[in-house]
Amino acid sequence: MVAEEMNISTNRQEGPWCSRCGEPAVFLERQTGRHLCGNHLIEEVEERVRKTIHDRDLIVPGNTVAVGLSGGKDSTALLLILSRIVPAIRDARLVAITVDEGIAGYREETILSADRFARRLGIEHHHVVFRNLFGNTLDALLIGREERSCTVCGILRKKALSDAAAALGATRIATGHNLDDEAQSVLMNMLRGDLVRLARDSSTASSGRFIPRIKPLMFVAEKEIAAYLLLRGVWQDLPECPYAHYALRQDARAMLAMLEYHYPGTMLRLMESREAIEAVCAGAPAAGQLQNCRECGDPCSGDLCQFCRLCRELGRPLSGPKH
Amino acid sequence: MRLILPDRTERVITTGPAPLACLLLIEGINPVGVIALRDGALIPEDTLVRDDDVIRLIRIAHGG
Repeated sequence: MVAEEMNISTNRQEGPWCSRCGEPAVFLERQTGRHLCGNHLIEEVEERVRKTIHDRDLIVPGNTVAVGLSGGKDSTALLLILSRIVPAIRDARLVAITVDEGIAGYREETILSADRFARRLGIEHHHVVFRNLFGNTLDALLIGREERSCTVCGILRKKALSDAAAALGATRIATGHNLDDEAQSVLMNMLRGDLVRLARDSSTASSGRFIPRIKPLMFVAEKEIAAYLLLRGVWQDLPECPYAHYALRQDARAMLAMLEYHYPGTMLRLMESREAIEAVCAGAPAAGQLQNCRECGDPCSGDLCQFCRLCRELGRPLSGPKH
Repeated sequence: MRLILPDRTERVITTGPAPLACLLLIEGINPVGVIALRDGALIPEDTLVRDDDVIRLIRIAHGG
């Protein structure tokens, strides 16, 4: 599929009208019933990200922020918004890292998009490749275990991104997880009965042993991100990961989309309930204590880190990252 | 209304003026998961659409 770039206009229409200025509306905020025009949608999305960063100290002066740039809509929006916010934070800088898992018929196109976009913004951009890091592509590693594709990919991507960020001297890793993603994770952890994951936020609470991960888009809905990119003229109609349908996340996504339509604000309330649970469980034994992996020494919650456990499951060592 | 779906197939819907979201639900499409364009312009899902409108839907694919 050839990716399209779209220039979106806001032609005169019969209504609805922006709740803030009376111009033709492009977006309905279902939870509040407000309508927003293009300019105000852009403004509110950027301001919400700025507020999230500021209120939670996600980026502070002197930070080097490594942005996981897959080329998809969320990381593209993240890099664009951060490129507008970070210059105002003293001595903070951005670098972009693209992880190439080697998913045929999918990743090539998104990587082209990532390359083009980073170049357009003038942001330092690095690539890491699964084949080089782990000895094979994700497609090859997943043969016979496709139903675990997202788990395997997630573990290896996290390792690749973390090690690349550390090599670049990054002090923050920013990912494009949005409100929908976070709400789906809450729902999935509840469905799995995984209280530890629910109670322990995997982002900024690093205990100083990981590079803190930040999710500046965590309060921006997926639909807002899509609209934002269309209005900014950087939308790309890219394919979805071919492994996505194997995951519980797809079912959680469909369920939440239905709930969000009928009960607007459901996703935001799920996020807020997670934060309440984290606050109650903070410091409790159930939240887990960090140890050192007995194979590789990386911090982890058990005696083996996820990466080493995966190597054992695959029955083969996966070559460590080379930089 | 001529509805262009994310996979580029088309449906013709003739119900008279109606909110886009209602028509999408009848077609089995959740408005939360799509963006709608009319004549290249982004429109909210509660926009009143008419039989002579051409609406293009963009699916919001998962993946960042």
